[in-house]
Amino acid sequence: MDTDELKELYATESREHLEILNTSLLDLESNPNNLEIIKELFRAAHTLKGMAGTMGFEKVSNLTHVMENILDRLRNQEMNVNTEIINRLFEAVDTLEILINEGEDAVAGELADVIDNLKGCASGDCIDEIESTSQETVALGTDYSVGLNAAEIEAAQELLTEESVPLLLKVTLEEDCAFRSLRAKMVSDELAEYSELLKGNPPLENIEDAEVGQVFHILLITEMLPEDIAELVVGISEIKEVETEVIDSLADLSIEFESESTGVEDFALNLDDQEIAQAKEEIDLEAGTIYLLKVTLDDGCVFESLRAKMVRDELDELGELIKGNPALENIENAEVAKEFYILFVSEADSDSILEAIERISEIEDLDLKRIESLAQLKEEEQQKKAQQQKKSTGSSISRKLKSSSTIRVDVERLDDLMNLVAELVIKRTQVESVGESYELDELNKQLKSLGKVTTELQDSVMKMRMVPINIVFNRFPRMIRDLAQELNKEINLEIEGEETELDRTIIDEIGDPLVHIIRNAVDHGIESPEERKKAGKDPVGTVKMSAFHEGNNVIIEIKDDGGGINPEYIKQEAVSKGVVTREEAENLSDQEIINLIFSSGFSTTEEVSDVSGRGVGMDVVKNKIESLSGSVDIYSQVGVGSTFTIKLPLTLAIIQGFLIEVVEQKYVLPLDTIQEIVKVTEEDIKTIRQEEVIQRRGTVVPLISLREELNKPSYEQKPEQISVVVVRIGEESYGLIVDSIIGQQEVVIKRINDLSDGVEKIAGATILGDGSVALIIDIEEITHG
Amino acid sequence: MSNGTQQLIVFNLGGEEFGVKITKVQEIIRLQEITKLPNSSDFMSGIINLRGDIISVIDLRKRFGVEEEDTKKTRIIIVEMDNQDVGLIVDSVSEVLRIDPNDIEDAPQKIAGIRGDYLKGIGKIDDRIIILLALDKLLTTEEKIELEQVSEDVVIEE
Repeated sequence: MDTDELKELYATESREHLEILNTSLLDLESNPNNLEIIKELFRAAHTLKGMAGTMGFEKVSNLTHVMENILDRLRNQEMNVNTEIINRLFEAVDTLEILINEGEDAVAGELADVIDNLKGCASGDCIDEIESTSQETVALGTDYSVGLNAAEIEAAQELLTEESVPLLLKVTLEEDCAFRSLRAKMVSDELAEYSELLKGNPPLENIEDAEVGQVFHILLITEMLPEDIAELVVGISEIKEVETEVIDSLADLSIEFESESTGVEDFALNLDDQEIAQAKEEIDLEAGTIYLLKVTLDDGCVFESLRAKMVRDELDELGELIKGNPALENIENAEVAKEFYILFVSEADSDSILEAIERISEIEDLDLKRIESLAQLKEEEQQKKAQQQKKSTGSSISRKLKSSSTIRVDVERLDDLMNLVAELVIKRTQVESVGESYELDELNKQLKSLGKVTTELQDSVMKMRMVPINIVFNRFPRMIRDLAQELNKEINLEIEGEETELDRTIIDEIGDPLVHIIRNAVDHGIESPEERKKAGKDPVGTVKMSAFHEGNNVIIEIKDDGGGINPEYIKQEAVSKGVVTREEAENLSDQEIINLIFSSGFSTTEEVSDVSGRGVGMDVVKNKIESLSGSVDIYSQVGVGSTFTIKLPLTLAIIQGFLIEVVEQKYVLPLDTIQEIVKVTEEDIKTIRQEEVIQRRGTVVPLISLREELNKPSYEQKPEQISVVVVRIGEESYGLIVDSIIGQQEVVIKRINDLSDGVEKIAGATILGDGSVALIIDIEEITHG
Repeated sequence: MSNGTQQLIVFNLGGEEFGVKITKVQEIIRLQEITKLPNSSDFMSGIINLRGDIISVIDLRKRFGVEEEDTKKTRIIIVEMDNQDVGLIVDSVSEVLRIDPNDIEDAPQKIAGIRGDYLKGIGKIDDRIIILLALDKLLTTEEKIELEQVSEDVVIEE
């Protein structure tokens, strides 16, 4: 895995944790005394810190460290949650977001302010000062940054002479050091000339290809003075700091595992009597069951130590930890193999323990064993050690986890795949048309099954591109909270149907319009608590967002119970801004007037507020949604509230189309809008107020001549039989008069390069089997225009 | 080739010679069936299928008020404009020409009824005069409005 991929992985995972921080903070605000939420926050901040540390992102790890301190104090109930703290924490999360999304350089001076603010709100003194490197706050040497196994110790002892001493070096690189591994290599080469290198973290072999963090450790044996060694190293460029420590006894560095050995299982823990005694003293072993958990990580797992730490933290929540292999303290800095062991006591049953651990990603397998007693475990381990045999104790539960079956794919690759599938569909229709024109029955039969396969292929690619809308919705609770605070309003946000899935491209584009509508709802819609009380409403306003499927569309509704839109006010505004003339305005219905807010050059706020007066009008919102082949409608009632209804297609790429012909040109109607196709005669057409209509099943259907709409000459002589395609838009049906009907076909939508702003009534174009181009009719525009 | 020498694709439009930078030209194709768009601007001829891509086509003859007559020589030049591929219909394409920057003069305010904005300059080679087009300016919003007004004016005059 190269550095870029690693960074990408880091960024994606960090964003997930940011998400957790954001939502949990919101939760915490409404349940300030809920310890579980604080723990959740702590875990997220801590994990972020760990990951940033591993990657060498100092600012992120600094900031998360301070956050962690505050959360720790909250967790220990040394102080109480208040709005100030929440605001500060939000501020910190925002800063983290910038740091993670835009890189460490994106935030400079502000970082110190954010950190100071954070510290300030915890009334100063109790918050630990963090060290500039922040990587480890633990004293050097005690953190086993370099661990030795028995064989290594033995080898090292042999190298020791009377004049030489073991020396542990902690080297800190400059923050912006670009080639860490190269510097580490230079350091180790330099040191090798004057000393015997024992071991490094990361390992010294091939260090130039290894992932090196900002800090790395090297253990060596030398006859030189520590100061001289340090001087040697500092002489290499991009080295920020070197700390040295003489190791009195190599045994202090001993760790009881071999990172590369696969035979760990045989000596999983190496419990000794002293440890058993200590555990008995400190932990109430009778309180629950003793478990031994064996965790196997994914082959692709990058942050082994981090995952181990996550597992440890999770188990710490569930019970009392006894011992782990590798050692549980500082597990995040230890070398962790693909498998590791943790011994603990818990009241929880095995299923719930497994469930909790399964949630951590990149774990391939879990093996949880019930242990009768520590002494027995020790004995069995010793027996195993002697016999070199595997034997399991108690009941054993093992599960293969599903989590390893998900992969992350670049959207671009999916787009490429989608394009290829679209090409395939076009080619298939081309072959089909050959088959039809030459009446090749056998070919046509084969093509049918090919058709099935391509349709399925298409469906699965589409599904891959579908993402739940909560990706967009998730940012709104936070936004509403901030807005409400800013405007001194009380607002409750309800979200429904956040699991509704939409095409990735639409998801990417729909965020901004939604933000704008919500801002408007909060700023102009919801009244101040006083006004609401006066009007006899609940002082807390409600904004409700919901998403659901309707046919081949997704509907997003944003509903507020605010003051609604006053048509009189809009009318005046529209006239004064020259959107319509007074005469025109008088003739408009209330609904039409409300729709005027979508006209360009219309913005309703009297005073420009920080919240919505950002120069983007509702016209931009409408245009954006329409460019996604969607539509937006408002329903509003004065004093009761407004509802914005956005209708979006499930996908933009391929639709089932219905081919028709008008004046020798072919057009496509989206099949899902079509209700029925009827042939009528001149007599069937009635006229109501100069509008032609037909009657279908008791309802009156207005007729629209496509010839007229598409600027084509009208019939010289009306045919006897008139073909009418009845389409349904929302609640209304319309009959489209066409020249002739060709039939159903799958079409790939291609956008028309909008050079002239004149492509009205056309949603796009598609290439037919014979290579000719057909225009896709925009039913919404045809029927509403 | 001396420093700064440009290569131009030279095309004819109503008897005048025009040039566009060769780097802007993707390809030159024969006139093919153009699907008309309803309600679009006058000079927007329609769209074509170019090997699976939908490309908008502008009729430069209409744009510059030249008589439209489809002949065997009529071509569509596919150019890159605002990062999109656009087709331009011209009477014919004659040659690729090298021109020294010294031979390019600033455009006069008005020439052959074309507003100065989308002229990059006038190239003079021997006795020939080649009008250099600034493609990016060919369709700026302002221009569009200007042109639409012009065409309205024309209608009134008729």
